[in-house]
Amino acid sequence: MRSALLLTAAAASFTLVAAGGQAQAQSVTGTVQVNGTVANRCLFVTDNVVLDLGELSLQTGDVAAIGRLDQAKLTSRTATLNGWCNGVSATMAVEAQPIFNTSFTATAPTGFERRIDYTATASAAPASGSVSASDTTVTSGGGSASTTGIFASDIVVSFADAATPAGGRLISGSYSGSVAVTLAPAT
Amino acid sequence: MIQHRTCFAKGVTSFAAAIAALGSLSVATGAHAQDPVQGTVGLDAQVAQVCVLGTPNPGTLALGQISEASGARVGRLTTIASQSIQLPGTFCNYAGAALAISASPLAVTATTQTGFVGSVDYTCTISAWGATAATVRTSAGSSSGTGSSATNPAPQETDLTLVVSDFAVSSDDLLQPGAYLALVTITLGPDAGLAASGS
Repeated sequence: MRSALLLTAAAASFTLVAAGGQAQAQSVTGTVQVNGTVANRCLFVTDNVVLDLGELSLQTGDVAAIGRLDQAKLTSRTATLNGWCNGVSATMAVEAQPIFNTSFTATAPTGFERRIDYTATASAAPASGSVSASDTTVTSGGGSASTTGIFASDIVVSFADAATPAGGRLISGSYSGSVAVTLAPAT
Repeated sequence: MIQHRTCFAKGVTSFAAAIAALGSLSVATGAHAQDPVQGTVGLDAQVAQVCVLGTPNPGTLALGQISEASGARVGRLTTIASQSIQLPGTFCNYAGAALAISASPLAVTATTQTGFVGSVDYTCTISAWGATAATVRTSAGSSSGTGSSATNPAPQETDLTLVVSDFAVSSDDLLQPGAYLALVTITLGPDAGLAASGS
């Protein structure tokens, strides 16, 4: 009877040792999640260009044309801005202001003009192809926005449809106008 | 006891402020779209002062026979009607441009013989440029007289008319036979620095 009891105790001890060896082989995993965001954004790298158009009126040629607008002085020129947008919904819009005589601000006498209208077009170059936005100074307010999406490129501003309201002669003096190109990150 | 409550209240306030600050931090670091940005193309230009004098029409006045062919005044200056010359499309694109006329007498090209007269005076007038007309009266003693000029108060485009009138001789003698010529010069420009002219 005593021998039987000892054997039972020895078997129990062996079982406990075996159980302790199984617990040491297990592993566990902890996780660290890293999150971040990038905001929709647009930025101009070159945000200001001044074009000196020079003499705007015809100086030679047909007497009937002398003193009237030399359209090529504007339509032959381009201005290059540079910028980027990082969002697929980014848009570009243009608002052009007429070129006015800043020296002579009174109402122009009959046969003369102090205002030059035109259409300005800005073209950006996303990878998917050129995107343009335009505005005419004939009507107030800006033009419709165009979706550029993601791009980083030159934005070339060109000019067309240069004209005075009634085709009259330009009053002498200094003239000034401007084109604003707006890049909006998201609509 | 009251002090203790006050301190507790401050502690709550500070905690709330910390939570609020944490909230704002999380907003600031969130993915929000930036405002639109704008680039500008400035356009500068100028228009120079310019005047154009319309081409005279007719370019030449042919007065024909200027002496009486018969009657009591035969051989003497006949009555010559006023003559008009158009200068269409004349303009200056600035204010302060002066219009001036100079003219020489209608003089015989040959040597004047004693007892004859070889020079006929006349008046040239151009109105509608300034507040006053530009005018000149020729004088036998001056080969090219310049009268009063006219200045425009604003840029102006108009069809000018040169009126040549009041033909007369200094003494009512017989006119020297021959061809008679005169030259009228109209000048339009910035006062003394005359930019355009026609004759």
